[in-house]
Amino acid sequence: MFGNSWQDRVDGFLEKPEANQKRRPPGAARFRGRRIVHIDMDAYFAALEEIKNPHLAGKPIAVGSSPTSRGVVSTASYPARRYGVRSGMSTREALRLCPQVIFVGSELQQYTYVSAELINIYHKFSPSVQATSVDEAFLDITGCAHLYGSEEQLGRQLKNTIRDKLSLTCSVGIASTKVMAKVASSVFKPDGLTVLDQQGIIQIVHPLPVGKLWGVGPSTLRALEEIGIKTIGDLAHWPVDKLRRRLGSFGEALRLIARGEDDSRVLAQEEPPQDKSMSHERTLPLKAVSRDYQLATLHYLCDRVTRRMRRHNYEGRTVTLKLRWTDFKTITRAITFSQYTDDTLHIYKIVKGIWQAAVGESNKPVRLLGVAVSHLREKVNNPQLGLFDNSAGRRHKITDTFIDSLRDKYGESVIHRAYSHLGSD
Amino acid sequence: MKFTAAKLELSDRLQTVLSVISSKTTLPILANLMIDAEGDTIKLSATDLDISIATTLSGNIAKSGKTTVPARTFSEIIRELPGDDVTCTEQNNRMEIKAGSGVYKISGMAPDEFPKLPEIKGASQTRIPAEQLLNMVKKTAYAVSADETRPALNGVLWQASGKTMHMVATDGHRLARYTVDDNRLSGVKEDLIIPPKALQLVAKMAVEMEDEIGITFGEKNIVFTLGNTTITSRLIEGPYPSYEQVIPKDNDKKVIVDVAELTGGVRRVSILSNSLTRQVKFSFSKKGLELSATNQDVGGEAKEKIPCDYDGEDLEIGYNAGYVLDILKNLESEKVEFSLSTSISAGLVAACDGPMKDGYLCLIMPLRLAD
Repeated sequence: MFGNSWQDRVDGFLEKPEANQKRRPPGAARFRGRRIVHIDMDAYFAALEEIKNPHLAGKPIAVGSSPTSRGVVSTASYPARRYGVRSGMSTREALRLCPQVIFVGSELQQYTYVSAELINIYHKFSPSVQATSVDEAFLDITGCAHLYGSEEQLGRQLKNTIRDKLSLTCSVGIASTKVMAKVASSVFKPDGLTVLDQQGIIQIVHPLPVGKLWGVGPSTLRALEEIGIKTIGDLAHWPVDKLRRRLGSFGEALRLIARGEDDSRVLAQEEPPQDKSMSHERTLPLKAVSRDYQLATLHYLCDRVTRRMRRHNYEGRTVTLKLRWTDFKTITRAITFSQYTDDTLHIYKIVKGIWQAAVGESNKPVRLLGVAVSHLREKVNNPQLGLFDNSAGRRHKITDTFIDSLRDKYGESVIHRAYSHLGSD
Repeated sequence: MKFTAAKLELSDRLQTVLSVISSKTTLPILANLMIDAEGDTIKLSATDLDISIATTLSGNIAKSGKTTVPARTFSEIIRELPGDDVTCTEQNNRMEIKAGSGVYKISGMAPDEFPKLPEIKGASQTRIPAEQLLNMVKKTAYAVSADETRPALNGVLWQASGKTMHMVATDGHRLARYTVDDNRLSGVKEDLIIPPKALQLVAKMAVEMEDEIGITFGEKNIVFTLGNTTITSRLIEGPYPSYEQVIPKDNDKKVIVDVAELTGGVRRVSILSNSLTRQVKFSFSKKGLELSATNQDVGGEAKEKIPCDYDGEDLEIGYNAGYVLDILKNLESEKVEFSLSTSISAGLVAACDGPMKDGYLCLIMPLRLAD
């Protein structure tokens, strides 16, 4: 939308506006010699599906619901792209363009897990990471490159790490600004690595039509074309006062973007939520009255919650069960214990106890179950030892640690606790 | 119902009854107290469903009857009234209170809505000196667990053992056991697990008594009789964990420290301990005992050296300062003896002198020291 100031628009493109963020006056937007990496995963969802089903490798795949329903393609593998299949296209259209395309469902849970793992990798290269979507991220590597020898070597090592750990390829661009880094990552795809210096910007970016520049929408494009600007290079070298006259301060800002000198910062995301509680809940299928099914679901929910706690290094000592009957009457029951814990089975045992007390012998159908753990604190490394500690706690810890390590490596769905399987996804 | 009673005594009795009524309750009737006037006795009772209390006083009863009134409001009115006597008249659960020239009216609830207090029939009974019971409770109840997942530990274990009886409490991190040479529990009742709230209530009231306390043992309840007042408590279902097994038998590292010096040291050093664990590190060596703590939140470090009598090899143990202080406070001695084994096993703490020298056993589990 036009109408807002240019600053709003640039912020909309480049940075998430923050309420308390002081708006910089136009003149203050100066190039400060940053170096930014942009990472764009190659055909991300399709690549993940290929990893899960190796027989799909090399074949045209489209991730999305089947063509019988009215779905859209969320990603197409490169072989499918050769037939013209693009993300955002209706699945019917995709099938028309490429009759042999294989449709696969999207397992979002697995994808978000891999994205989280990617962010872990990025953090090894830079403390300043901004993930703009599940498959794209910016890293501010200002002053980091010498640790790896050169920017190119940093980029290569980043790509290698991602390939070795997750068997995924990506295209990496390194440049002075976020816009230029993004342009650089798109120069060679898939599996590309492009480092753009000022010379590179002039050679590779400046010949591109000005409409390709991040921040130039249809109206701006018309305005630019009216004054004779055709390429990004034209914009970069256009006299400032003329741009100002036509587009106001937005014109000047665009010029800086075109020169690779704008001051858009990589906004590092906040680390783990400071929640005082963690919870998961599930709506049960209508026919699910069986007590076994409910217990399995509770087991699954405890598994999810405690896994998240362990990932953020939390332990808690209050467990809450939420239970909604099919008549939408909802009850919550909590229990607090003295020793902080992140033990999946221990918490399940407690939840089971609360559940038994709540439902009694009844077979009344349940609509929703939820498990929350609160009174969270960061795990202490010098726990209070107990008089009645038994080997069960130690055994659980070994199991939890093992399951966590498998999931860290291969994804959440790689292993389930046998009992929770009935109630899991 | 209509009765006249001495204002001061009624007010006193109301205070006693109020101690059972919790400020927030799910059942509105539990905020009320039952008044039952019959013959020449006025009976006041209240309950929180776990513990019930009933007390009687004499009065001039013009018309017998029963009702319930909001306990706090009623007792506040009685307390503030002038004059020596107060007259209460009830009709259709509406209570009129008259004293001097003042008239106050409050609405109550029907007496049949009030939960029935448990009746204990044909149960065994005994009597125990008030001071003895008081002491047993005071020395143990602090260690009771608040962990709702282990209900048995939420109570104090009262246990006959040959010619003696024990009172035991533990929260799984520390344990206190007080033993007295008294066989009155033997053969009467085996293990009893009593909610600490009931015992503390009994202890509070027993402070003013020199007499003996009557105890009636029911199947699921226990009744304490102190003069005109009876306190009935639900018993917690067992079994109580077999705590004897965790009492170490051969802790051969013995350390003797001055209680006052240790108490002061732990108090001061613990100011800079981690606010979650309250860990104070005890470093025992032939040269003495060093207490130390760190708190990263405030960048704090504390160290204090205290003389001690120890000739074993060096030993470092982390303890929760609160647990140590709880024990020291109850020892009533000048010197304390720690019997220790390793830095991750239970330690025994005992008085070296004074009235608690015999029969009082305290156990404390360490905090695992961070590497």
